[in-house]
Amino acid sequence: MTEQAIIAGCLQNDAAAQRELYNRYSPKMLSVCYRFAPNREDAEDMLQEGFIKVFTQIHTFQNKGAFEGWIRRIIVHTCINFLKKHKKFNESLDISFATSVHIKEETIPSIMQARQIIECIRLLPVGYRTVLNLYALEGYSHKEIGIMLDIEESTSRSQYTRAKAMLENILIRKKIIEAPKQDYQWLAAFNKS
Amino acid sequence: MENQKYQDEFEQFLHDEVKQHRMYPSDRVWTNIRTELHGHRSWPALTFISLFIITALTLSTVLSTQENFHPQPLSIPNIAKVEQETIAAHKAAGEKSRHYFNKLAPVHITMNTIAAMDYPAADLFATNNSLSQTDLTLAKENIQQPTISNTKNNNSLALFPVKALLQPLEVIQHSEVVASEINTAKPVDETVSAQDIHLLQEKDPTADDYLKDFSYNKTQPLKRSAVSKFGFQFYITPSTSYRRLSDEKVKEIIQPAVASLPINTPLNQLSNVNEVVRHRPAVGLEVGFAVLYNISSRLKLKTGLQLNIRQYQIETFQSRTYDPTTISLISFNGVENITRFSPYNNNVGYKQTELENKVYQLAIPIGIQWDVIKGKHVGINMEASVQPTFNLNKSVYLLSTDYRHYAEGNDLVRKWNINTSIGLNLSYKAGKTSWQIGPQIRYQHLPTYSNKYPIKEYLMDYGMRIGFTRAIQ
Repeated sequence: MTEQAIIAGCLQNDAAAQRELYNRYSPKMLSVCYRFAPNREDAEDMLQEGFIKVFTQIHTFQNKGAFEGWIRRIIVHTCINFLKKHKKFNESLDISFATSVHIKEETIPSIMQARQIIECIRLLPVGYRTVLNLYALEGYSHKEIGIMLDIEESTSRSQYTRAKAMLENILIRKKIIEAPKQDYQWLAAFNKS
Repeated sequence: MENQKYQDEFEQFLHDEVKQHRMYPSDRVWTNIRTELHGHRSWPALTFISLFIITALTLSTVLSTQENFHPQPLSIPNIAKVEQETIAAHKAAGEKSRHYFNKLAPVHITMNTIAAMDYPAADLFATNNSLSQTDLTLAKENIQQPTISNTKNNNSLALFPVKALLQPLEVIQHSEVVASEINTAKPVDETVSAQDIHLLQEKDPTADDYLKDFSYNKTQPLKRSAVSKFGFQFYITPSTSYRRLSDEKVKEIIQPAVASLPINTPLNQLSNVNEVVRHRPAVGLEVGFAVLYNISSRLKLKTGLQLNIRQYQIETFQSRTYDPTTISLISFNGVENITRFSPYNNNVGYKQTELENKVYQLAIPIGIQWDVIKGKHVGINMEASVQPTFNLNKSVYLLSTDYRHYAEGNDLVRKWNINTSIGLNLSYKAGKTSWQIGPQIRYQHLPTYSNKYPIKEYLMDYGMRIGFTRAIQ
C-alpha cells in the first residue's frame, strides 16, 4: 500500500489503512517518545495519544513536506504536552539540580550502539533531555523550544550546553566516543602563534 | 572553530546513531487507539455465548419437561378417572353399609341405639358431603388427616381413606395406586355393638381410632430419593496466555559473575527484559472434568482432572545462519555457560518470524465452589482452586542470556508446577443439570523453566469457562 493510499484510507477513517500507517511509523515514533519519556509505559501512552491526534487531524496534512515529518511533529508536541500535563517536565527543569546528578558507572547501559546512546540520553534529567532531544535530534531552534516549553530562549541554550556536556561525559566514560584532545589543541594553537 | 566543528560532529553523530532506532509498541497501544477511533470491536465470543445460553436454556427446558412427565399432574382426565373410581368404590361401600342402616331402622331401635346416636363422631359425618371435587380440592391442599364422609344418596355411613388420595397426589406417580387404595379400603360393615357404644361413651374417638377399628392401615408415604451430595462437572475454557519475565537473577548473579570472562558474555542490561522481547498471546484451552461434593447447600468441594494447552507467539527474526548463543545457568558451582546454535535473532535477520511456545499440561485441580447467589434457576458462584500441574510434551524457545537469540529450551522446562485459578460463573439450573459460564484467571506460580535458568517466566491465562454440572444419584 502506497503512502498516498494510506493517507486516502485514513481520511475515510478506514481501520485497515490506519493500521497500516500505525505499523509503518509506530516503531520509529515509539523510539522518539522513549527519548522523552521517563519509562516505556509513559512512552507508549505518548505514542497512543500522538497517533490518535494523527488520525483525527490527518485532514490538516496538506502534502507540503514529508508525511513522516508531519507525524513526527505531532508526536513530539504530544510528548511535550504529556510531560507538562503530568508535571514531569517542570519539576526537574531546575538546572542546578541537573548539574548535581551523579551517574554511577554501572548504570550506564550497553546493549547496542543506538540503544546505548538513547539509554545514555535518558539518564539526563528531564529538562536537559527534553532540550537536547528537541534541538539536537528533532531540529527545533532554541526560539521554538522556548515557545514550546514556556522558557526563555537563553535558558534553552544554556540547558542544551549543559545537557550536551553531561551526555558527552557519559558517552566518553562509556567509551562510545573518544575524549577531545584539548591539550594538544591548545599546544597546537600556542605553536601557531 | 575546532570546538565548534566538534560540537557539530557530536550532534551529527547523535542524529545518525539515533534516527534509525526503532522500538516496537505493545499490542495494547493499537487496541486503545482503535477503540478510541472506532469504539469497541464487536466481540464474536458474545454471539457464541448468547447462542450457547439460548441453546442451553432450550435444552434444559426440554429435558426438564421430560423428566417431570412421570409424576402425572392433576389434569382433568386424571381427576375424572379418580372421581369415577372413587364413586364406584363409594357405591360399593354404600351397599354394604345399608346393612348397618337397617340395624338402625325403627324396628331395631333400642335404648342402646339411641345412646349410640349421641356418638360424637356423627358430627363428623353430618358436615361432610359426597366425595366429589371438594375432596380432590382438599387433596390438592395436602391435608394429612383422614376424612370420613357419608353419601348423600343413601344416607349411610361410609368411610373413605381420603389419605390414600391425599398423599399420593403429591408423591405417588400413578393414579392407579390411588384406585387400588380405594378398592382395598374396607367399608363399614360391622354392627355397632353395645360394647362399642360403651366404649364410645367412655372416650370420644378420633377419626384415627375409628379407622383403626375398621382395620384400616395408613398408607405409608413414599419416600423421596435422598438428595445426592455428589455432582459431576465437565468444562472447557478457551483462554489466552500472557507472560511476565523477570531478569533479576541475570543482573544480580550472571552479570557480575561473567563480566571478567573473555567470552561473549551477557551484556550489562539496563533495560528490563520485558522491553526487549515481543510476544503475542495465542488462544489456548483448558478442558477437564471434576467431581463435586456438597459440604453445605452453598459450598462444594471440587477435584478432578484437567488438560491445559497454553501457547503464545514470540516475534523475532530469522537469520540465514545458525549463530552460537550463550545461555548462562546458575548451578551449585556458580555460573555455567552453555552454547547453543540458533537461527533466531531478536534484533536482526533476513525475515521476521514467529516462534510458538506451546505446552501441554495435566493438572489436578483441588478447590471449592461457593454459591454467592442461589436462585431457583439462576445463580452466581465463585470458584478457586490450586492445581498441581505436570508438563507433558512441550515445544518452547527460551531467550539467551544476552537477550539476542532464542534457542530451544525443552530440557530446561520444569516438570512440575503449581497453578491457582479463580473464576466467577453465572449458572442456570434445570432439573439435575446446571449450566455455567464465566471468566476465569489462572496464574502459574513457579517459573516455566527450572531454577538454573536465570530469566524467570510467569504465565497468566485469562479465559471464559463454559461447563455443565449434573447431580449424581
